[in-house]
Amino acid sequence: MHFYIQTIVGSLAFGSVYALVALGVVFIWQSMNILNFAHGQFLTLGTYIAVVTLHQGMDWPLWLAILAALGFVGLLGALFSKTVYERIRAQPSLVVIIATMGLSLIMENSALLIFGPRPRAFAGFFGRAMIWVGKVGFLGNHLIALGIAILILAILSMLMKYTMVGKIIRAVAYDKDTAGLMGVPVFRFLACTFAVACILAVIAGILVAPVTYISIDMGTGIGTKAFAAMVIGGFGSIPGAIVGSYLLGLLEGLGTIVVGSVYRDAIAFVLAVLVLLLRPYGLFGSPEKARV
Amino acid sequence: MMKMRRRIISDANTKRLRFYNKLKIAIICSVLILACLLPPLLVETIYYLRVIVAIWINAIVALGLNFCVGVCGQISLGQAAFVGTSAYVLAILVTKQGAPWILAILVSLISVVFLGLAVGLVSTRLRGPYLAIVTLAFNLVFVIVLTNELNITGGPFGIRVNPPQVLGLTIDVKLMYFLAFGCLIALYQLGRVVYFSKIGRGFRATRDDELAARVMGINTVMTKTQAFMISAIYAGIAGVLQTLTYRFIAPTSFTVIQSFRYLAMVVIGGMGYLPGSIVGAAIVTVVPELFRGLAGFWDIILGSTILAILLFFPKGAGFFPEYFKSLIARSKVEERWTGEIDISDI
Repeated sequence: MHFYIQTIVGSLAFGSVYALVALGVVFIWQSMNILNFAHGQFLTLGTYIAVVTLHQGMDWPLWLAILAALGFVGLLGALFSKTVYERIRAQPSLVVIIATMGLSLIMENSALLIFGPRPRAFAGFFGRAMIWVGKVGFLGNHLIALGIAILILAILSMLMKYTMVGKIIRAVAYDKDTAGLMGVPVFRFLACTFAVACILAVIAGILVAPVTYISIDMGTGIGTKAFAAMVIGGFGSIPGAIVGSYLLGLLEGLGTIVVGSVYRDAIAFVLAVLVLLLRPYGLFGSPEKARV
Repeated sequence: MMKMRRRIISDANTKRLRFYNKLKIAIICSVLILACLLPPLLVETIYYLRVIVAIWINAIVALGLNFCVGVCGQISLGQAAFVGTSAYVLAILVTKQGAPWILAILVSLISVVFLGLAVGLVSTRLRGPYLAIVTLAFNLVFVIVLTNELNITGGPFGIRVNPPQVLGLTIDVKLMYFLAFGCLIALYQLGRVVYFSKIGRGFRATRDDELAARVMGINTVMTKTQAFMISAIYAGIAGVLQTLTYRFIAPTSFTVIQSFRYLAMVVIGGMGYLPGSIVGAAIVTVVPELFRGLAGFWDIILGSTILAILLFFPKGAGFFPEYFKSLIARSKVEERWTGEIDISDI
């Protein structure tokens, strides 16, 4: 029984990591109509900069390193949004997908060149410390990941709902033309959205780094699973992405017990395909209406 | 199509120009084909021959993928998995089951056709990003299975096969060269026939506007499945050729990155432009071999090239079609409009 509780908490920790990444992908999808295949690469890049370069390499304190990396990747995201994503936004989805795949290829291989192929270990905030509740032990890093992710999701939803910036971001996502007529600098806020999405991915990367290793392909794996989570929850819906992520995390964790750790990565994709077959708009989505 | 073309009203002068253009294209094509037949007779280094064979094989995959992505407008990020399926089925049948080569080749092609049908049937229910995610997932799962089913696929170490013997003939690289090139030419011609047939027109109509195509009475579900099956068949033939040529296959040849390289060939050559796929395949295959020292940079360059083409040639058509056409057919043939656009020199 204890084993199952531990597994569930660990799975939910992974689920919250997927949720942060998937939320960023949904933001970009809603505001720009782009499925960002390069999103995982922002995660890899930010995690490497924060942990490997600044914290381990240059001995910065962890919080400062993380803040610096968040700022850097946010700026980078805004820059990419301005230079690349804005240009391809109006293209057919085929072109957009190939372009973002190309960008992901560039970023992944650049990271490989800069940081080298060797995976790095990262102790995180707790190392391998366990927290015991009665007879059930939880890995400190799992709890941290779960807690911080939920905190960030809560803060973000508050910001989106009650602050002016959040309102503008939602307005831009909803209708760019009308928002522009209201005097909103639309493209600046698109870049802003993109930066927020990238920062979320980096936070996810830093939260998951102590549990897994930091490696070049960590972003690709988590990014594609975030897509799977989006598909499961309902594509393009924020609650769908979050619920889908936690559901995916749980099913992945429990499914691993059944099929073995070897096929752990396959679970997400098989689930996504099954969901698409049975309910193409996801568990919480609504059928898409064709516009003529 | 033929009937429609005959109805084009043209005077003697345009007829003459048209004939010369066709003649020019015919001469250029036959010279090119003859030139392509020379290397195995002149070159003794097996390495160079293998690189050129790789071009032909990749070109076959790219042609098939072009039908799916360029002509029919359906994204497929899992092309390498189709190639891998037939390559692995062939290798497994021959090494583990001791099947005769001909039979094994047939079985592997048939298995790919059915896989293409299955993926096509799933994919026709999906559009745009969903389709991308499903085909991507298909390829990822495929590689995971290849890597972990050690007993069947040899895991990360791959499978080594003995020199293939077909009809009592041992196949070496030179024979493979002619075989692969012959397959490419045959499949290219087949592709042209399909492109101009009713099926091909259905593809293009579905790509340009799916709703309009459906309104016109095109069964888009059937059309898209056909596109996936054509790309699967081409990939399957390429997979068979790959196993025959290299006699060694490993999961690393069939990853998502490889799928993206196939996509890059199509984009570089021009989406929807069949000869371009061959050029794209040649570029994507040869350039990394030329710059072996820059191995780490190659995928960055490839990605940047794709991005640049898509950003600055926003239709994503690549720059080859217009360039080739202007090179070959300098003199524009003027025709009175009869409702059918003549695209015969594609």
